[in-house]
Amino acid sequence: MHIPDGLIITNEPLSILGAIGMWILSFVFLYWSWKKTKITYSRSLTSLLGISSAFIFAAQMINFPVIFGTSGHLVGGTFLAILLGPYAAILGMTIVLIMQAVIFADGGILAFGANVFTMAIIGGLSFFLIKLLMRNSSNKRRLASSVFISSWLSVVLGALVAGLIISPAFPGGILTTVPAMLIYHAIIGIGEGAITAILVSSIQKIQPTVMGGINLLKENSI
Amino acid sequence: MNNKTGIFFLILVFLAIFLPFASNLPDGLETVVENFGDKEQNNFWNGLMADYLIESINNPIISTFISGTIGTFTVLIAALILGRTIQPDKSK
Repeated sequence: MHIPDGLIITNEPLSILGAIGMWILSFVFLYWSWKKTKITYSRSLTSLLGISSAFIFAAQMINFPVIFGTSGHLVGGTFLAILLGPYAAILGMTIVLIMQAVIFADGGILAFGANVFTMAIIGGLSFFLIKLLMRNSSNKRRLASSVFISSWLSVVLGALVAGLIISPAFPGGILTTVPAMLIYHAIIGIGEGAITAILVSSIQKIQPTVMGGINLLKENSI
Repeated sequence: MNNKTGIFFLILVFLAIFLPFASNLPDGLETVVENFGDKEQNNFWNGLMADYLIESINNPIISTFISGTIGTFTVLIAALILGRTIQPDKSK
């Protein structure tokens, strides 16, 4: 779902305006996440932030085939949110996106604000949907299904925003890009949901103390 | 979580195991571009290792694995620096 600059640099000025708007919006969210990270956590997140972000980078390289001749890969925003909580997840995911854009040209520079919004911010904020669905429950099955739903929705919502952003570059406009992005990503999102739910369930069995985000699920102040 | 080096190498093992099976099919957005968009795109920045490949290495899996290792390492270091920078408030 990484938007390249080629879809932003078009003859339509709306493309550039949209990209600039997404830069500003993402910057505001990143600043907010930075501030909230500082006040939300009582212990250092350094090791977990480093390792989990590195894992997400590696996992994003493994594309799995889905139907209609397309493929998908884990985005990982919801997974990071369960490990780190929403705010640090947004920051960790942004680090992944910076490296992908700068070193590997995976996602554009002008499009960077949009990519941060669609993957890091929506992914991190999916934490609050998990929180809503859990309603203070500690049931593991409920957690797995909440994680599945939230990660699926994070991919679909990201695709919706990406579909809007790239629409000026397409002859068919929004009526082409939004439905197409939604259809493909509704299917890719099933992979995201399944992988995230399996990862979260596995870590909960092996090393539950790692998942700091889960403790935050029950905090009302967050 | 003290053994960062150990987990880093585990991530590389994960990459080495799964990369050969990774799909080369276009992802969702690329499929939308291929089916409905203009294939000619102007990207002004082509990265240091575009498409996760190193030009001088012909084997695509080895090339991708090495670029993936470099990427994983840089993300690890950058996120560790970020983590150090955002030390939690002592007052909490």
